[in-house]
Amino acid sequence: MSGHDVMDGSNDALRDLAGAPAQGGSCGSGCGCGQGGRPERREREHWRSLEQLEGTAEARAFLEREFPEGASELPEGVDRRSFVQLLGATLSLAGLAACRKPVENIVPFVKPPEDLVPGIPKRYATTMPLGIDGYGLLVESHEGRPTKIEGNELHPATRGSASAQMQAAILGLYDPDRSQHVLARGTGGPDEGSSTASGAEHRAPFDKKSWPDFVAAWKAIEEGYLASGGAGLAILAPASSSPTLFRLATEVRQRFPQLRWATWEPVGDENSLAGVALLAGRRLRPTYDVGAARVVVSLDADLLLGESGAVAHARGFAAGRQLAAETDTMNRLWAVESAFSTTGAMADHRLALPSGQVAAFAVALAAALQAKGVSAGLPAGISGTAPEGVPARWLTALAGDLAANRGRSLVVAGRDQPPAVHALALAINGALGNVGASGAPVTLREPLDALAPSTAELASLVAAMQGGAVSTLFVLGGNPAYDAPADLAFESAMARVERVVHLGLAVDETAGRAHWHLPEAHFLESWGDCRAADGTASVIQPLIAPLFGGHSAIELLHLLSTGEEQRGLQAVRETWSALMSATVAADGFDLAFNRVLHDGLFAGSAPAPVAMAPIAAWPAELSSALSNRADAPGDSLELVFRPSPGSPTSPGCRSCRTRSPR
Amino acid sequence: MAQIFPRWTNELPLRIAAGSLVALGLVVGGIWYYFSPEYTDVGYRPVQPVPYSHKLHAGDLGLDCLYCHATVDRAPVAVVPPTQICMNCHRLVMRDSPALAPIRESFASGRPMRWVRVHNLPGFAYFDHRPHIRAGVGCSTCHGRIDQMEVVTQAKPLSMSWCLDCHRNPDPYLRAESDITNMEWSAPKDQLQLAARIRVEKHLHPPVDCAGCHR
Repeated sequence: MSGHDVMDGSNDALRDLAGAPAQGGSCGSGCGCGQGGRPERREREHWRSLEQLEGTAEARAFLEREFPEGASELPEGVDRRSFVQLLGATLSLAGLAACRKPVENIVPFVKPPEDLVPGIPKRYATTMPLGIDGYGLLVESHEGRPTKIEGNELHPATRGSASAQMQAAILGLYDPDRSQHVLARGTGGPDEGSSTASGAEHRAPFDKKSWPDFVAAWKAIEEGYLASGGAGLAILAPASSSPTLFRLATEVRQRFPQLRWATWEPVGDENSLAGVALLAGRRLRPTYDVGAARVVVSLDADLLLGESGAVAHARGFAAGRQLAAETDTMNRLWAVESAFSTTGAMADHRLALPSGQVAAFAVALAAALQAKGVSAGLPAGISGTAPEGVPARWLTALAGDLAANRGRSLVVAGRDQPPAVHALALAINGALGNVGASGAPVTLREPLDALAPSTAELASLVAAMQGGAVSTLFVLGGNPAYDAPADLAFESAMARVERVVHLGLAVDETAGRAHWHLPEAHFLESWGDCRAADGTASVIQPLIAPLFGGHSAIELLHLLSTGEEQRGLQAVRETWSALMSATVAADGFDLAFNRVLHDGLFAGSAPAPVAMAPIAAWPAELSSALSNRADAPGDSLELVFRPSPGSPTSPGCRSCRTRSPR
Repeated sequence: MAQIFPRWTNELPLRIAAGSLVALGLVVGGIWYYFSPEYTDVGYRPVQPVPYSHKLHAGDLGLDCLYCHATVDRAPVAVVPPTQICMNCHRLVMRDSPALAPIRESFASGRPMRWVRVHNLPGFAYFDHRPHIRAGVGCSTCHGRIDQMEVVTQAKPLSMSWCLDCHRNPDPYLRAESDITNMEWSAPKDQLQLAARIRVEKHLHPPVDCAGCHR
């Protein structure tokens, strides 16, 4: 019965789209469609795609055709019958090739490298940069080719484990879709008046060039920018915690004082840094030791998979569940989340709550804790009523659990939550006494050498680009044309820049709008360095020479900041001789640097944790953000964007992202 | 009325049956012999880029196998020596020999030699030299009298049944560690007692299950 209705309804919808009148009355009996006088039965309209519902021209054309385009035409040239004949003949003849044993060659080294035994893999320590984090890895190498990635046991961010993103980085290295040539637009120059997206399609095609060609092209315009102090020059960089990149970024701004710099990362810790800065008054980075906490509360944070430091969190969480003696107790995980995540699946207590109500929940939790004698200093006038759908017992039990575990509990806010929620989570942690020296559940440290992502920087850069104030833009990696906020219209702003130079792993959307594309060296094939979330510095050691002659962001930035080309290792050693000078004598640098390469980290390079001062009064900005928050009503629809754990914004997987459907 | 079939046709079915049996036997026997690695692989003697003589080096001059195939006890594969190993001696010996021109050229240019593989196991058979050497299987057991070969020739079939013969009963082939690279080794009179002792000492249990080699 209902099935029949559905069929009728969808037929109506199809006819609607196909342009035929659906109303029984308007269909004349002469048309022969049999609809004349048929009673109207259109209770529900069913549709099979959004295009059909919208009634776009493509959908109409598709419906009007009996077969998809090209399916009904007879092919020209080789017809089907002879194609199958050829196929059969090929198959039967291919078998004959097996009659002769293939001749194989053995190709030994001319001068074998020291200590290399063919067939016995070696392991090297290196680091994977990911946003403003670094993850220490051990990479297995067979005869000079990296094959397998695991975590480095000595490194605080991985502790011997590796996430799916790190494991997959090896596939990013050998990805056949990586760009392999320096490319430049044939005729060059800005395309006038093509501020619309369609205008860019008329761009000149790419020509294959070489790195020296690019260097020559840069040299030709470098003098002009030196004279003007870099007016019109802009750099858009992905987030990084590399001491060398940080040093070069400082130097390039000294060389070109007028240079505009923006750091952008689609998924990052911008909100967390902003939230902590709201409360503490300066930029501090929280790191969490989940193993030190008996009670863990996640406020829309995918602590065990999606957040930065997830690998170490998962190790700590597992350690907290390990029972060695009968009297041991397990830790307890409370998850409040808007989408089902690994953390929610592992939680002892999970509460589904729209993302927009998590702030209200955090305020209610602070109020409930206040009732238990734990004052997070919540100013009066902020309503502490729990949002709809939160059982009062749940909230009371959670507050009781936290209050009973002062100094041994942890409240974490998710990346997607606004800064105010991060600030409130830190205030609750502070009130519970969880923030402290290393070993405490929460430690606050200064984010050294961090080029932290900033949407505001990106927005002001895009405004300058739209205003025609940028003549040369360097994109030091990433794919902003694809992942910048759509409101900013980065792609159309690019069309107003005379010269866009894109350094990237793939010819992606940004490269498609750029005038120069430079193949980027993967982190497994270039020298670099970075700091882990806790500030531990380590070197990125290449496992293989660049497969496609790529260059790293460090090498490009070095060219911009000094005007000279230098391979990454020299730039990194230069940074590290300064970085290690406090603890290592100058003549012992080589030995100490080799030790860093061997261990995969510079022991003792993490800054000391910063003590959290008691909060005397909440900043007005934070109070107003919390009291004027726009909580979504309980029954409204909410759209939440979440990064897929499989296609991160990592350098290891940038090319995966470009293939995702838009 | 004449007979349609003459008398001799009475025997025809029998003859056909007998003939088919013989033909079948020939086909089976032919495949048995001519398709086996014993026939197809033994004696494989490809032409190498340099006419290197194992008879001269390993036999007459008495170089140990491990001088060139240095990783055989440390790695799954025994390396074919890098050009540098050749040049260790040939920088001084036979410096102008035209036969060695490819070696000198390779050493000077850095382009590696392309030797032709003689002993080629299929990819689905796992083989590791190390456990065999440790167990006491000598080089000559599988590779034959290399020290008497001008051109390296495959001496054994390297077939599955050949592998299994030894894995099922390794006793005739086990030797003392000092004799591993000894090309002139032959089983002593008390071989069976010696092998029994080696088997106990080294806990030898050569695998004969599928997963032993087809992992």
